[in-house]
Amino acid sequence: MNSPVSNQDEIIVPSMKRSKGRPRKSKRSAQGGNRSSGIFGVPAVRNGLLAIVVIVVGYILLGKISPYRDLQFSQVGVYVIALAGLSLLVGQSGQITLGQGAVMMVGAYTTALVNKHLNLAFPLEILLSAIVAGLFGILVGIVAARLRGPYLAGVTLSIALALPELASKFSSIFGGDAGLIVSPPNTPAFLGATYTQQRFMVSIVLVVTVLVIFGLANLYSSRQGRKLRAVRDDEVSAELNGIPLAGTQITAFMIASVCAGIAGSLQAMVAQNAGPESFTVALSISLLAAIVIGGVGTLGGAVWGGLALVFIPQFATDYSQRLNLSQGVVANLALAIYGLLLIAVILVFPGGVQGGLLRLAKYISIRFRSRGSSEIAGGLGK
Amino acid sequence: MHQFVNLTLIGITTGAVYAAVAMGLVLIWRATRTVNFAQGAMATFSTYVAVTLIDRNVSYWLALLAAIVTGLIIGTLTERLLMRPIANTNPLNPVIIAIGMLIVLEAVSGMIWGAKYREFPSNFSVTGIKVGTSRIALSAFDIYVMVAVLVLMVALLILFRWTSLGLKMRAAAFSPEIARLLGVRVGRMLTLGWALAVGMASVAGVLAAPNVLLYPNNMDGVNVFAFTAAILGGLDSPVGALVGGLGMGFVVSYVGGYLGSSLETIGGLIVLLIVLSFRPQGIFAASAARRV
Repeated sequence: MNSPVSNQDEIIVPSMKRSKGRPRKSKRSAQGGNRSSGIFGVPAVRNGLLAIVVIVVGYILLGKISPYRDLQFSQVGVYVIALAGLSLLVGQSGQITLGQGAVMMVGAYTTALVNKHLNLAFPLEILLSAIVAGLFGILVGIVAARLRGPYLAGVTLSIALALPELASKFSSIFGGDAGLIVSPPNTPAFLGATYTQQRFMVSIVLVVTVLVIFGLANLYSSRQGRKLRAVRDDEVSAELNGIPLAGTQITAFMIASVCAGIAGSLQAMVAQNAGPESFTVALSISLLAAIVIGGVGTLGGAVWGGLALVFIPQFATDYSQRLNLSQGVVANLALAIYGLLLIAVILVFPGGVQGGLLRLAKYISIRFRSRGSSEIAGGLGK
Repeated sequence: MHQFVNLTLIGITTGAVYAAVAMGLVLIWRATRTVNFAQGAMATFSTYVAVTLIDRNVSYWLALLAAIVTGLIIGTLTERLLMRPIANTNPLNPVIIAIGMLIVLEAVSGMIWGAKYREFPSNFSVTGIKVGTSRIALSAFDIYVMVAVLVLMVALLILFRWTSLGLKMRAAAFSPEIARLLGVRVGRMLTLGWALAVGMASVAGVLAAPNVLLYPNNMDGVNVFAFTAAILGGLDSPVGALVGGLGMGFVVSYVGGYLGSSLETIGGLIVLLIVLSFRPQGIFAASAARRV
């Protein structure tokens, strides 16, 4: 792709030279964030402040929206978390997966089983789901580290196809095709009687989403983030610089899976159900499509992708119904839009929405200042 | 014993279809180092064209021909309009274009022909042949499927081994620069490879349709198993596609028959994981070092 690739790529490998052995986490490596990507592109403290601001502003904005949109925005948050992990895996470490939806299913079923058999507070349910999904991700990552390109895509696709069938097969444990019922977190009494369960749920999703993005933003600008990019850009020179290839790739899979596990756990709470129908191959494929459209390798791309996954189908359904199009068209318009966007992004719009916005910002800053300050992040480019 | 024989026969029939689809994947992989994830959706589209013609009282054979032509056109257009501009870029790009095609084609099929299941008429009897007193799971239609796949495979073998066109195609895939220096129109060979592959897949789609019914994503499952088959055999190897296809046919048939049909995909996954952990490039692929 002829996308303008950021100059971060050239910086990475030389900067790894000083990472022989295991030096202490120096001040320099923390400041490395200044020239790395990530939607914030600033050190951890400023990321943290920004995260708090986003939570507060987001919460106030949530108060303005009509209550029936609570569910929609919960769904956006769930997708953003899963997509942020996928973005890291595909964009930063260069491994492809068609199984992110299947890992979400692992998280959702963990939450459902914990919910059914143990009596734990909901943060612990989310945590356990993240751990189980992370372990699953390590297993997949061990297989994946030996495989490249289409072979990896094939294995992850098979996993995405096989996992939902396990749920159908072992119906005594997993509830069969109907899935398991999940009782959502209880709304605390001090919020008042008028505070709806959906409103409480969307608040939880908001906080968790911001926390996940905050963590990943720091990761992008950390030593681990640079390792991922070094392995993506050139496996041989990365290995010559002392970076363990397999270990780095397995870590990427684990992080992406932890995100998917958290997303799945929240999904189960939002939908109050964990069933095989919610986690089909189609979900995994749409997640990959959404992150490419949003801007793969960036965290902003995950946000755009999450919005696209929720609002494009709604827009397409409304629009085609208003035009009195046939049932077949109504049901398929959203899919067609995804597919066309996906092709368009690769052919004429590299970097997706986030890449486009960053290019716009760069253009403006070059126009109005002596030199541009923003960078085009990752993308599928190179 | 009776069940074993029947499952084996079913395995050969389904395996033949997987092998045909896998062969399409291998053709494209050899020519352009791309996995065509949209192959199933392309085959389904061609099959819908065929069934529309059959509904208008066109004969089965003409409809099959129309499906093949549709496949050739789709393959040509995909290569020229979508794959050519992104050649020699990040290897993830063609994969994502193919997934985009998959989504678009399934949506378009759904828009034109609706999301309902349709029967696809078969030109031969689908009831099992009588051997002695009992019927075995082998119908005249199954025999037709096997013969059709065999004929296609032999035709491809002849094309690649004994014709100058096949030699040019192999040269273009093996070393584009040198082939170009020697006067091979490499671009045309790549287009031809895509066209042949999707044409092949379209035949497979028509052959599979009477058994799996027709709906916009009916080939998804077949495509995943065929993809598994191609990977098992090694994406480079036509022989691997045939062996992998039949192997997957047996795995799916035995697992489905003895352990329950909901474990078919898990059986496929386990076989895939076992084979790939010993041969990460597949069974028949020449083990080459990854390019640095």
